[in-house]
Amino acid sequence: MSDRPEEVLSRFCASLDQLILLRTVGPEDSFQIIGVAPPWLGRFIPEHGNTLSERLLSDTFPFVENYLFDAKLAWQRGQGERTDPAIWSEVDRLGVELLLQVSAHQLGNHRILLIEGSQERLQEKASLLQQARIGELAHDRLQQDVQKRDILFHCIVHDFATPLSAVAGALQLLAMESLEPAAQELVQSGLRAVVHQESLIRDVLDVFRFDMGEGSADELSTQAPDLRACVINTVRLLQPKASWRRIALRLEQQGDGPLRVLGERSRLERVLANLIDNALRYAPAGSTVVVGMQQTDQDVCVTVDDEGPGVAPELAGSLFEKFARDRRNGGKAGLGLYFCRMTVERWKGTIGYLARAETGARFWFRLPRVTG
Amino acid sequence: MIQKKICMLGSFAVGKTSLVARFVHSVFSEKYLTTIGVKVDKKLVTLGEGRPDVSMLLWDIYGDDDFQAVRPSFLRGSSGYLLVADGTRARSIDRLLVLHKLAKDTVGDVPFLILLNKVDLVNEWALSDREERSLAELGSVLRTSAKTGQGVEEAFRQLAIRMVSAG
Repeated sequence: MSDRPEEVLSRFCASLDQLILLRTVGPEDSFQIIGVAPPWLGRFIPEHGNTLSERLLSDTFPFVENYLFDAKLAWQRGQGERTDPAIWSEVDRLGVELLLQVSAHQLGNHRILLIEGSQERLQEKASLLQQARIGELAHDRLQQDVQKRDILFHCIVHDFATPLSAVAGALQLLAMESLEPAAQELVQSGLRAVVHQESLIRDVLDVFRFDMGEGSADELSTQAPDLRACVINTVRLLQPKASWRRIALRLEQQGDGPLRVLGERSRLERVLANLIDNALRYAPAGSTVVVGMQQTDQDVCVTVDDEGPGVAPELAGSLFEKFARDRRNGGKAGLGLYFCRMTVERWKGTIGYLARAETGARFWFRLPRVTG
Repeated sequence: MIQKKICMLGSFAVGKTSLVARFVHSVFSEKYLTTIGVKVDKKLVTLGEGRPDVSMLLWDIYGDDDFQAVRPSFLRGSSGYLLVADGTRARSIDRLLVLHKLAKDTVGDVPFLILLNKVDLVNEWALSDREERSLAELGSVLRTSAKTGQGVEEAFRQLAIRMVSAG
């Protein structure tokens, strides 16, 4: 085996499973294969020389035919230009499916088309995407559940309890009138039914609160989840999404001991996921989202900083309201931040938003510590 | 025989790949496997009644979301498209509307159908009649189920007929 640099380079290219094609100038649009063609090419084009015509490439891979539109635009733009890589899957002559990735580059006067066939790398990417989307689906379902419960809560409180109070008031006024005994008995019977109904509603609300994982302050102190563990867990879960969006998700904390706070673990992690997810949604690729924790003897403050566009001043005041629009660039109406506020305030905490001096947004919440 | 390129467009996990698998291979899997990139499949559709057979080149394009945005260049050369939403996830409609605009801007007024998939999950259906009526103002709406096969053959066939009529 020769050790000439160009042959070493050629073998190196082949070991990467990459097909490197150099566009050649001539009567027919074609590409010259640089180095050794990777073995997977033979599964689609069994007999090929060192040159592939654009026609053959397009007939074999219809996806590439389409991609060449973008590639040609990038090549026309000149030196240093490249297209975003695109992945597609292709079934070979034996019916085996292969993932391939194509990108176009302009290096000096050379126009390069790069097709990568490393199944390991592409499958890893697919697996990352799969994890992130399963997480997104679970998050969606959770949001739907929260919304349904919230609607149920308001429905019970406003539609049932409020008119019942009015009925009770009217019956009590009627009972003060001088009525025939039979009529008085009917009024008292009505009042008893109202009291019974109010009691039923209280029971339903108690069950609802229990179902939502709520309890009294004493019960919550007993649960006292470790906020540090919740933050670490949530950041870990959202790392695939951050990596996919090419955002660095960093955790900054003081100390390493548990930080027990008033609250309930799963809902606390939902609050954290909402805030971090929101930051990842608006942060630009290549930027950093920082999750911080600062504690005092009384409380712990969690901050989520991003380098996105921030929040328009006119929207900042209503950010945590139901169906608020949350960001400058067409943020969608939602319940995420409303859910966070409702939850944190129920635990005697506070939540808010600050525009950062530099670009971006800071969302924060503070919860009382449980000691002893 | 004529060849037509068709794009499957929609949010992730609405069932685009399952619809193609049901139509082309008559199979369905309960397991959710996200589509990374684009997969091209072929199916010959016989329309009869003096109409030419259509060789459909089905471009199953990954679900459009925050992770992967659909590129307009993928749509180039399409003679028609299917906009797919998940009837149990109202949010998937938002993405469908965005993709419809992208498709119109890229390929113009070519035939398309709106498919509300997963109709077998009737107890989890999240779309109101009013929402479905609004969608119908945009274009023809069909309820489909890749799981049971309901409406699937009809959807692709209807689109083929419209594409042939459009020339």
